Amino acid sequence: MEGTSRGHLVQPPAKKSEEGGGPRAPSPPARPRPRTPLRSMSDAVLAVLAPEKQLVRAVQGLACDRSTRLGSSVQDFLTLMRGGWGEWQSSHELLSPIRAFLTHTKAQLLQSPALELPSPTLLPDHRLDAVLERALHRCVLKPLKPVLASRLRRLHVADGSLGRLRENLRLVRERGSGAFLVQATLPGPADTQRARRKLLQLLRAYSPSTQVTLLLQACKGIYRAMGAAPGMDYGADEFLPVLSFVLAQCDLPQLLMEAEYMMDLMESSQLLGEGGYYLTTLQASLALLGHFHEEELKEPGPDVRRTLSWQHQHPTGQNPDSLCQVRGDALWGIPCYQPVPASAPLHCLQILTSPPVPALSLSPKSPHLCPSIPLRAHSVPSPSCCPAPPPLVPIPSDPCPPRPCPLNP
Amino acid sequence: MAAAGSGAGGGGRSFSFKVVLLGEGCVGKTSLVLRYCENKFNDKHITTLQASFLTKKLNIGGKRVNLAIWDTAGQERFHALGPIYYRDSNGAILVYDVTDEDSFQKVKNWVKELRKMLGNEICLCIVGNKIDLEKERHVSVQEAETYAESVGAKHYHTSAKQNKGIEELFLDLCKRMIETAQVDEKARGNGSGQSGTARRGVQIIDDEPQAQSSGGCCSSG
Repeated sequence: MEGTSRGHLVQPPAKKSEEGGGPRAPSPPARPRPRTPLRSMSDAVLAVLAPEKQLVRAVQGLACDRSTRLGSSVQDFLTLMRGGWGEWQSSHELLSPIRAFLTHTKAQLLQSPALELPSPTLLPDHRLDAVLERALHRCVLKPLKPVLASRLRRLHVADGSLGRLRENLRLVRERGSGAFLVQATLPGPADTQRARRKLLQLLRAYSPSTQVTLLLQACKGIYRAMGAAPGMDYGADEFLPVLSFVLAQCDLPQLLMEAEYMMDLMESSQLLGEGGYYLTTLQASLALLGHFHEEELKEPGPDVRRTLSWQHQHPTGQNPDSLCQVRGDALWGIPCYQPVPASAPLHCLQILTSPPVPALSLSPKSPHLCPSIPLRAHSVPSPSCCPAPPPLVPIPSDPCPPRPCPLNP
Repeated sequence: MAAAGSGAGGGGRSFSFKVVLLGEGCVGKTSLVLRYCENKFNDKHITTLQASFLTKKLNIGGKRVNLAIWDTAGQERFHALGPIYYRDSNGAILVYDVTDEDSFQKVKNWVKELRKMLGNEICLCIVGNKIDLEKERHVSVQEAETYAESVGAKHYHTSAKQNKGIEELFLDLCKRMIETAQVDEKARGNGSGQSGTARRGVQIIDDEPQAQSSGGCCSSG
């Protein structure tokens, strides 16, 4: 309705901020750098034939060039991240500043007239956003992926979750088809191999967009292998156990880190969609597998669960700030989502602020990526409220197995 | 917490809502949502024709609504996975089978958990499914409706088999989610469009009311 409802990342008309941007000479409608005739020609051809490729290439060029604003901010950020500001204690703390940086940089690029490229005009808005996102993945995530992977791995080795998952995957494989109560056909070895290949590709990819596509392809293959009769569709009741079974066969415990990587680096709008759903399902399945042994140990009767259910463990009068703790409990200690730590480098934190920031002019360097703006995080509990997860609530097996459970009531 | 994703695009407002589907394994959650989205599958879905994740587009009084419906596995052993699914939900549909008292108890557990974790910002719908089996009913209408009212939820009776009460359920839910989103937006000093950052439990609140940045368009996604 009123045109005011756009995101805060939007800045006042970019022209203005460029002029007022600093003492440096106002950039004439950016002329990044001289190009070789050959390069220009191939750019021109690409612009017509493949505007997206052209744009990605241009952004990449700028991102590598320290003399541009984009280049200096990207390179500074990479240096900072590679150096490891060491205070992160969870994957979310490690990764969320990166997502914030991507979002911020993309917003700057989108509204910067200095992005003097012939192609953007050829792309509709939503494509432009997606293409810039991909371009930034290439500039930022590609170089960082190995570092991040090893840090995530270290986190999960240290807290024992990786070893536990690996061990449990073995346990589930030993149990075979009886590990989960599966009502659909279990995929055979060939279908499992196909899914595994997709998941291996996912592990190698650095862009969460690519990864999520591979995940969806793997899931699609699994659904196909489940062989729904015509007119019958599988819901989560059927899919989650089958996925868990397949994941055990695939034996890729590294997915634990990869799922976190994707969850934190995907755009929030994507998280709401199908990709977000299946990524959530992957996380749920890994959580289930990671605690499989605990379920195996205890097989309490149906009422035991009621007395032990976590509502009872955490009486309602509890301080709402304990949300994090309850989550940790309910998720068997799956890391809960926390605000970026206070220890995050200042300019990473500043990136998270949405109020107007001068537009990112791509040519002259400017000392600050963005101005200091006081920041107050929502009252999400601090990491300290997330103690080691309490003992698992024993969960009995499915209460309604004897009844046949047709999909249609 | 997580406000509706909203953004002005073209003429009217548009909202994106996440709705999570909870309930025991055999209560007919999947059939319910399939019935609602029947023949409305989005071909863009890579996993077409499966019922775990469905979307529906609606237009309610000029407001465009994109509904994403997230199914969850209802077996008891998966209960602890609930929070992974319901975080950032705008609405929850809690389904029980009117012929199965236990499934209604299960719904009560979910209500407690959701209220505790997500507060009053999540719109709850309690749904008694399988009313085509009225003769075998084990959960009294009055008990269910009184309970729903006591927890600030709405109660509906449906039959996925006979396609009864389903449209109404979803339409009502959408209207309530729109209202909640708008109230939330106002409360935040007209900070619409903030939804992106509100997700994932990280929310940045600016001290000063937004210097209403007018125009511009960056996040077209």
